Amino acid sequence: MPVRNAALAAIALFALAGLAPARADDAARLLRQAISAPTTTSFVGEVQTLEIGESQTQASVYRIEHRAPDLTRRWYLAPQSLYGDSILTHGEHRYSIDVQRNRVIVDENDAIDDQVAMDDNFGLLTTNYRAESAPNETVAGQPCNVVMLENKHTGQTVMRIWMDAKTHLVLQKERYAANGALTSQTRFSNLRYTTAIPAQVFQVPSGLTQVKGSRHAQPSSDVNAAVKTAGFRAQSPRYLPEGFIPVTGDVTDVNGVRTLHLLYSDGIRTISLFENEKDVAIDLSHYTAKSVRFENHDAQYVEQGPITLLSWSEAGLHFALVGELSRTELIKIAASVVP
Amino acid sequence: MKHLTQDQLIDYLHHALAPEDDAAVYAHLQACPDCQAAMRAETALTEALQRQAAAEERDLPAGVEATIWARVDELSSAPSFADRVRAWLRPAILVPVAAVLVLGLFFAPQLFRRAPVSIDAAYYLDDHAAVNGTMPFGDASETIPASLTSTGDPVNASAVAVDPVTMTADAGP
Repeated sequence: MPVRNAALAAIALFALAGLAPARADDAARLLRQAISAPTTTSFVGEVQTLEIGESQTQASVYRIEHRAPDLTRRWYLAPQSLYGDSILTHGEHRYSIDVQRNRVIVDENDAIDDQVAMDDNFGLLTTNYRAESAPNETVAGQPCNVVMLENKHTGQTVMRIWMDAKTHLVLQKERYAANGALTSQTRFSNLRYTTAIPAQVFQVPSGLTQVKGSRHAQPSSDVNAAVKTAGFRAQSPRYLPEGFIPVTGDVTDVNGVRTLHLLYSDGIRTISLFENEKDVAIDLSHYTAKSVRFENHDAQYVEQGPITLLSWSEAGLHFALVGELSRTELIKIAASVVP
Repeated sequence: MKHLTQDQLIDYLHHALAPEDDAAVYAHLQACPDCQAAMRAETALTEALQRQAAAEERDLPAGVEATIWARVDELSSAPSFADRVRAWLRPAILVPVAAVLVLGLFFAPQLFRRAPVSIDAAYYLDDHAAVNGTMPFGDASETIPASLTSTGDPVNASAVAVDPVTMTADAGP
């Protein structure tokens, strides 16, 4: 009888193997497969996003059509102010189609295909985060492996990812603040895997005024080189949250002003520090800006969902710090930038 | 023999004759007692007049000559820097120049002022999102592009090439 029970238990385990949670040591492999899934998987569906800030929340709903490896259209259904607007992505090129203003803004982002950087950053992620498997769930009708990413320094769960068990496509993703509060959620619905997506879906509509947007260069992993290229005595924060390191640097002429962009990350969370030295004002007129004072600096900040932009000046340098950390944490970092 | 005229004698006495005339008068005087007598009379008269002039001569007041020479030196030498500055500060020049300067200071900033440079916050937010594209699960598509939500015009931004720093053997990654 005990032998029979043991055999039944073994059979049951075998039967459940397909639905069992992925083993912890498989979690990292699943994450890597998830990152590259869009390059091999075509699909159509609907995505809901929630970006929850300390004082405001943004929600959006868009239809998505993706043809592997790098053609994507996101067509906004909500919010109302964006209804009908869409974003076409052709590899490194992004076309933001603004139907209300009858224009299309063309951006170029050389960083998007930087596989080396992606690999490095994945290494950074596994250095600072422990991938833990959670019980499998179903999202958009698809069985999913669930992986939680726990910060090794704080022990807090920072992200939870639902990956299609077959295609490894990320179908749901949640991020959490240091106190555990949900800060963002992305979730698929009405998902259908197909390659039969008409080519015209990805064509830029004619009759719109094309406006040149930004050209984001492939950032250099040689941060010191970027600092030297800036042409002024750039500053770095003396304090960063545990696990954060300088990841990339790039220099851009923005409206004729040479601007240094330093990116810091722990593999998931990121902070951007922008610096320039000319008499440049940051234009916050399109946002609801608020004032905050730290270390004798009169700073201003704006929030876009969980992203906060903090701006201040010191010793002839102008700084903008952008990140999804709490405002308190960003101010602590900003206070450590001492020219 | 023709005798010398009084004019010839006077000119001879004052060394005002041409050399050949002077020689001819001299030769004639050696041989003509009448002209010698007339010469002595003319000499006596000249000496008398000179004595009279010397007796009536008066010195210039003390310092006049020095003052005159100092003035001559001053006029003949180049003006000093201070003199030139003083010359420029004459009201006839200073007033119009000052007026031009004041007007220039008032209008120049407006003429040459650069349009104030400002960078839309949307640029920083979008650039942060763009670089996030290389982070695992940092897909920028979750965030609504600031270029769509901002009412401002897109920022004109172009990348500057970053020259790699020479790496050394012990340089870290």
